[in-house]
Amino acid sequence: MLSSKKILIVEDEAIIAFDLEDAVLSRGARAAVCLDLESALAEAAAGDIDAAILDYNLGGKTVLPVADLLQQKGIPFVFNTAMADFVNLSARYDGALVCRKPVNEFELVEVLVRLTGGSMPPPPIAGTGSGSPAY
Amino acid sequence: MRPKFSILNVLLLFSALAFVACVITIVMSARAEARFRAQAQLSSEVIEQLNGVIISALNAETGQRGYLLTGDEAYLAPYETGAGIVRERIDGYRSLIADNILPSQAATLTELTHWTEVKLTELASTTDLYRSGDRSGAIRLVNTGAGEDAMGNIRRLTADLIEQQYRIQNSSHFDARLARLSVLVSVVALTFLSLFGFGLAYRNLQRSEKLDVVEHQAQELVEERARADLLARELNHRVKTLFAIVQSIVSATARRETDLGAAARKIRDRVHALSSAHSLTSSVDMQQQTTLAALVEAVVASQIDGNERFAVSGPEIAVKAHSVTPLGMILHELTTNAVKYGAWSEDRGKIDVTWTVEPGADGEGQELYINWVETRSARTNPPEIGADGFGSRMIGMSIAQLGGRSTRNWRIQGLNLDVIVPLNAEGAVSGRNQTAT
Repeated sequence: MLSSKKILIVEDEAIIAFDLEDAVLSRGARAAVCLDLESALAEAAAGDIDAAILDYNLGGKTVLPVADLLQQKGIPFVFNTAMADFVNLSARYDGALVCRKPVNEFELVEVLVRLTGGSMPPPPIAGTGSGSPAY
Repeated sequence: MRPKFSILNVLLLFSALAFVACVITIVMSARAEARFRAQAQLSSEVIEQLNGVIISALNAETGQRGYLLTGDEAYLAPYETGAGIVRERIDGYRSLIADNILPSQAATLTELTHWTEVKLTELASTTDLYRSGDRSGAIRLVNTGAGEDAMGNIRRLTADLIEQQYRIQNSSHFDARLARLSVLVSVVALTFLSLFGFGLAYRNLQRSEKLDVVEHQAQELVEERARADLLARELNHRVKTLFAIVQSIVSATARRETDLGAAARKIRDRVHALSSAHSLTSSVDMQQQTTLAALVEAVVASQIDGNERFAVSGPEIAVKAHSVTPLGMILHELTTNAVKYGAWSEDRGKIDVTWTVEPGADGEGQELYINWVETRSARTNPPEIGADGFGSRMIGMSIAQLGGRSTRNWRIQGLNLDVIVPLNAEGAVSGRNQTAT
């Protein structure tokens, strides 16, 4: 379960951030939503987070400084990107998980559960995702 | 890069050599011509001397005959003059040809000198005999024919030398004609070389111009290709992001609805608003932008009939493509709220949207103030925006995406909201995240 976990959501598109926050909150976790690089760096530095979802492209800037900081602090993270070069990300961050936008909510939650060492929660609403995360 | 024209290089080298050869030929021809002229001058002097030998020898002989026939001393003067001139002429001839004397000329000249001396001796002997009174002895001496023979030899030898001189002159003339022909050939060759050179230069010029054009076109193609690739990647990214946005609209809306019909209607309205907003920047051009007025028209004004219930005013403000979604969603949620709970939920309610540009609150740049004012007839407290929580959170998060803020002024007539977003250096709504990409 994700309950009592704090998830950092870095996403520059408000409505996607909104939806991701919803998805996390609905699993009983807390969420810190950052819409730009600067606030995301500040949140990552604060350090009371258990896992992070990182949008690769933040309005022309990359999220890599945040990923570097998280890796340094040993906080797990998953990329959520519409960019095609996820192979480079996996190599740079030692097998880091990369989901391709548009991501299936259930896959993303499954990844977060795995990253935070929890167990799978039951889906809160009907409908299941298919396929598996692209790692 | 220019290809090497090795054949042309060889031709150019050949042309250069030919040019040098032509110049040498012309110089040599000029010298041959000068030699010919000098030779002609010499020949005419030589022939004059040789004719002088004959004439003066004949004069001397004529003088001798006259004296012998008449005994008149007056005949002795042309005799003595002629005899003196003969030697002068022979010496003159010798000195004229001394520099380039031929063996045949030398042999003939020796012979001529000999026979001249024989003749002059015969003439001197006969006149001396006559003067001493031995007239018959003098006649006898004449009648031996020795003088006649000598005279004949002088004629023959002189004619021979003149003939030889003519031959020399002719060969010199031939050289000169040959030289003139060489010059003519050289001039023609130089003309052709020049034409060839001009042709080659012209052709190289044309070729280099063509190469420049081709290189330029190739460069343009490369740049065009890079632009197309960039555009394709950007478009791919945008499409995926749009799918992600639509998916988020669907899931975030569905989470809050228990009624499938209501969920479907809200999803449809939100996707429609998104689509209307994006149709303003549907071009694949990455620099594409629209205006705030166009966005308000597409998202807000399209939801109501009649101008009297909606008023818009404000300066022209550009909205960058990546800010269209958050600004469009803000306007859509405000409109939805107005239709459901606010001014447009009544028959006579009115919405005024005005915007102004003000100096930035932090003292830097400029900010856009969008004032959304609803005027209702009902004097009841309007409900909060978005009773289901979607609208207010959507608006709040979209404002955050734009790096803006909002101020809500309480009015009993209805909602009065200021949405304040920063403008970039060009005065466009660009969002705080956006770099100049």
